Amino acid sequence: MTVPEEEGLEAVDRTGLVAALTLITGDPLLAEDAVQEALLRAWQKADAGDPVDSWPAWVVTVALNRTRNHFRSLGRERAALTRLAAEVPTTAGPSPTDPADRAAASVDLLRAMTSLTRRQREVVTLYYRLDLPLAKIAAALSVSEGTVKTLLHRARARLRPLLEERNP
Amino acid sequence: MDDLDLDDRLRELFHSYETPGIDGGGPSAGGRRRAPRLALVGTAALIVALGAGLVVLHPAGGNGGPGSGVRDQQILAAVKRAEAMYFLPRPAAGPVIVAYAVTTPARALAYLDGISWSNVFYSSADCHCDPSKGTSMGKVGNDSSQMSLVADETGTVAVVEISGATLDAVYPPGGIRHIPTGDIGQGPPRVYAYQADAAFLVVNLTDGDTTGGMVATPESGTSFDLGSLGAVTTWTGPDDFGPPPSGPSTVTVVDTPHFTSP
Repeated sequence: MTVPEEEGLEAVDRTGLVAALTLITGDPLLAEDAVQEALLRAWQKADAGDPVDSWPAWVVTVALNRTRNHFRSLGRERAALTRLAAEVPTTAGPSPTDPADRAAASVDLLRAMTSLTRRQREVVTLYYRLDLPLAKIAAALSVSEGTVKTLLHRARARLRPLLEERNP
Repeated sequence: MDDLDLDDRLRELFHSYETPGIDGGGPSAGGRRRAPRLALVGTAALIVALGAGLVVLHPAGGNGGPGSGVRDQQILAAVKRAEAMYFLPRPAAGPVIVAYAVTTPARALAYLDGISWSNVFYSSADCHCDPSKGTSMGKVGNDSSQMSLVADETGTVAVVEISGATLDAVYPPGGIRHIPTGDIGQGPPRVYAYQADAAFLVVNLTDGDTTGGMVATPESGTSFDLGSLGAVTTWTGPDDFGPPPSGPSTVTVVDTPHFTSP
């Protein structure tokens, strides 16, 4: 099988994608399953010789679609995020590198995500967690780049208080 | 806090997030269960098993260096389990040499991707041909073996090569798929298995399971160096799994234009 060096399947950040989908859905098992399924489909597609410009972007799109099909209710996602936040230990540590402090930050982040819409969670996670450029986010979500910018702007506005609380 | 500062802090915050209870990342999520197939992924191993049971280890063939004797025995045990499942003792034209090198899934995948295959059998389902040869794709079944290699970045894999035997020696007749040539002018359909002089098989190192595995035959004339993956262990010897069958080996060939399960 031949895939481009830069955008081949080996360029897929599986761990990062699972984390990103967990932030979006609140369900780590669903996230892992969606990524696994997307990778499986990617391999089949690659084996069939179907051309794909960017495998990482393709896998993101398929995995996101998988979670959308599973979660038809935004309320279920918010509930899952809240539940996940409750499962993470919250003991704060003295330094940013302390695992406990990172756990506390994760709780804050998960809770903050519940205040975002699904689209805002997708955009902000793909942008900040997977570091995808705006154009690729737009392609993955089948929206315009302008829409991505708007969603990102609104998500940032909602997340700003979280950071100002943590780092006044 | 200006926008650039906010950007930096958000990126840092998102990157610090680790998925609970998955991939060893982050705090535990209270014992939530991993998907079963990922449990398999975590222990997947790539091994070819054939013939013989009496192992002759290279002096330096420790698969991990000094002190890895236990590991050697674990790998050998897995190979024997695999042989018990798949190897039907058959008369061979000459001594059978089995060799393997222990490596990581990523390197194993790169290695396998670098070899031109005349055919590949997914033992869990059907087979398909190497796309690079321009042959039409057969029905691709459960190719979780490839997924295993891709998904597991930290596991241990043994890439194993066998020489001096045909594929029907390592695969039950019922498991050999018939691959038609397609063009009438090319003569009768061939069974690629008879052309094999080396093969690879995917085996779960823990339990010897090969249902998620792969049997593959490199293209005739293909050159590959197992040693590029690390220390190589080899063995030859008598079969360890009972007497060979009294009659000649036979493979049932079904003349069909499709890839079908036996």
